[in-house]
Amino acid sequence: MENFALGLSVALLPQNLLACFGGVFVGTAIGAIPGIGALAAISLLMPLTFAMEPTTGIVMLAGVYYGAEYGGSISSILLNVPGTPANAITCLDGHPMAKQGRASVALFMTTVASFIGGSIGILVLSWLTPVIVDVAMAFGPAEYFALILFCLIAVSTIGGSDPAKNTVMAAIGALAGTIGIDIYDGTERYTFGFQYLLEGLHLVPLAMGLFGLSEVIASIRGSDYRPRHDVRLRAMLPTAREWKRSILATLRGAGYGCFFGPLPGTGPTVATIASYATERRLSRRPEAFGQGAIEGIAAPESANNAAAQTAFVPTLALGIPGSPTMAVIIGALMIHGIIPGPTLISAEPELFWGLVASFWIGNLLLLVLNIPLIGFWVSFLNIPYRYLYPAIVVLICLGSFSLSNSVFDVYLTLVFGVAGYLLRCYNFSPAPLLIGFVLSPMLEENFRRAMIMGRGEASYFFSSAISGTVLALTLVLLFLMLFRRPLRRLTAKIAAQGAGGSKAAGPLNTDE
Amino acid sequence: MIRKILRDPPWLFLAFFGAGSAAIALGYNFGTANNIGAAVYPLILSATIVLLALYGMIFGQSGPIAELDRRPFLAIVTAVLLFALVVERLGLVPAVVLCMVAAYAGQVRSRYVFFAVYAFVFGFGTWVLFSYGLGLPLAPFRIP
Repeated sequence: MENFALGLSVALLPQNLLACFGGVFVGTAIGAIPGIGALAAISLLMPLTFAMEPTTGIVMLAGVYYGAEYGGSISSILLNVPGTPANAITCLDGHPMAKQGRASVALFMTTVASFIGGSIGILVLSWLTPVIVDVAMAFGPAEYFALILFCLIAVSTIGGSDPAKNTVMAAIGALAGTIGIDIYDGTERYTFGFQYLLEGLHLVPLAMGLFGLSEVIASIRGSDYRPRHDVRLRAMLPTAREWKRSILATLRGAGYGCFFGPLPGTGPTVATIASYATERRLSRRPEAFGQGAIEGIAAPESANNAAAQTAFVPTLALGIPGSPTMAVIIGALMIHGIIPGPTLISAEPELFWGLVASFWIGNLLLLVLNIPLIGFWVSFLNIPYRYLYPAIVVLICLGSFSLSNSVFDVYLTLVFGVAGYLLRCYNFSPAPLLIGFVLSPMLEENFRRAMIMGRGEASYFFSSAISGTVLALTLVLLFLMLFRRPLRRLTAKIAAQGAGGSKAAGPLNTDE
Repeated sequence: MIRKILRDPPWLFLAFFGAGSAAIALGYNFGTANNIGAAVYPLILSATIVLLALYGMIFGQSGPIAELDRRPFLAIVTAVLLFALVVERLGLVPAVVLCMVAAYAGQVRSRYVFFAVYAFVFGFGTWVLFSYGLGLPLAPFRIP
């Protein structure tokens, strides 16, 4: 309680309150634009935080994050186009409700469920983070190396459609993270004589290019959308029966969000899918799902916001991001000179508890502001995309330029933008690349430190129960990723050959 | 097999990319087992890339490949290039206007005069915001 009071005293400072409001508002606006997700929104606004105090800057970015997660549901419901991947499931029942003329009820329930889910997520975050920190204080370089490697492999194998593609992207990201002067022996790695690369690649051009520019290119065609629904404030309140159906669904959704949020590679998207599937299974009228069932909105939206909050647990407690968005938040913390990890709570209690308190204030702002602003968001979606995206391109260019007042960063953003778009064309996800890039310096540092502590013996990595278990889990994940498909193919081939053989044997037998 | 590899060029490119980065890393300091040098970590990563690329060539999915949408792609690339080339030579407002107009060409509507006016107002607004609000040392206009 004392800690939360400290956090409130920080979060309620006028500059932090303003940053929280600005972040939530802009995040909701960007999240509502289909195709531009939370990651692009944070990357776009990160340079604005460089002139701010670290706490104020991170409060703003966090506001952008959960604002975008909420904003994504607006376009899901009104346009049937999810603003973020985690909002895709909201389309299933949100849009049918809008078609029935009940968009305002769907948006109202989204706001309330998001608030409840977010608040429960914050409670779990403030309870779980110090617990994990206590455990993590005993971690050495071998444990950190094992955990970071596990996180990288888990994000690559669990998150996407093709684990091999994701893992190769993570490895390329990690390689990009080695660019610059090696801190141990001063060797210049992959700088190719460019002075700008001596300090390494900056996160902003990488994130803005891979996610901002490439998303803009991909979303131009066929994006000139217009809302088809008139939302009136009057008809917002759900019926008593709908409230009854939503309450337990919201709480269960929050439970899913709190469970999946901190796990690497899962996050809000898996939480929303799992909560929706559960509600459908538990429902007395599963046939109503997909036709506008209100619990089909309440549960995933609550799960989404709870996961958005609890995703901060490994980020703040261990300094290990479980998702690309958290990787950018870690990057932003580092730019401000703050090293996330077990010492964060003791070294920067104002920042940690201020952030936790601002999460809650941000969620409250989402509730208080967005119910009256629902009409405004509908009007906002009326602005044709052809007027919005050129402005986004300019903001990306200016954001990169402002890093060091040099056009080199703009060129770098362009290179990563082109790479990001081509990767999408070939079904390679750029998200693991970003995570690999952020985790790479930590992975290498802990690898080298562990080798020093183990006096050159690789067995040192298996000397403690934690690192040994985590490394074994990582190997199992890798094995499953690499050999599941070839084994399945081989089995199918043998089965087909067997069937072919018996077919071939058939006529012979008849002839005989 | 060769046909499969040629049908899925990214894996081949990645194999060459990994081999190239490994060749460069070979030139760095290796150190010793208990004091690892700068070469080892990038070498491990490069080898991983090569191995995964080989794996992809053999077992990888040849899923549907999205066609490159040339018009938006070229428009955005031109827009960013114009911004980078013009911002220090002619100033922020011309850079923003040129960038936005080039980006606007990525879609099919053609109300360019109206859009140029909007871009000019937006450019001036960004100059006010970034110069006064964030202290970015950029002139609105510059004579080369």
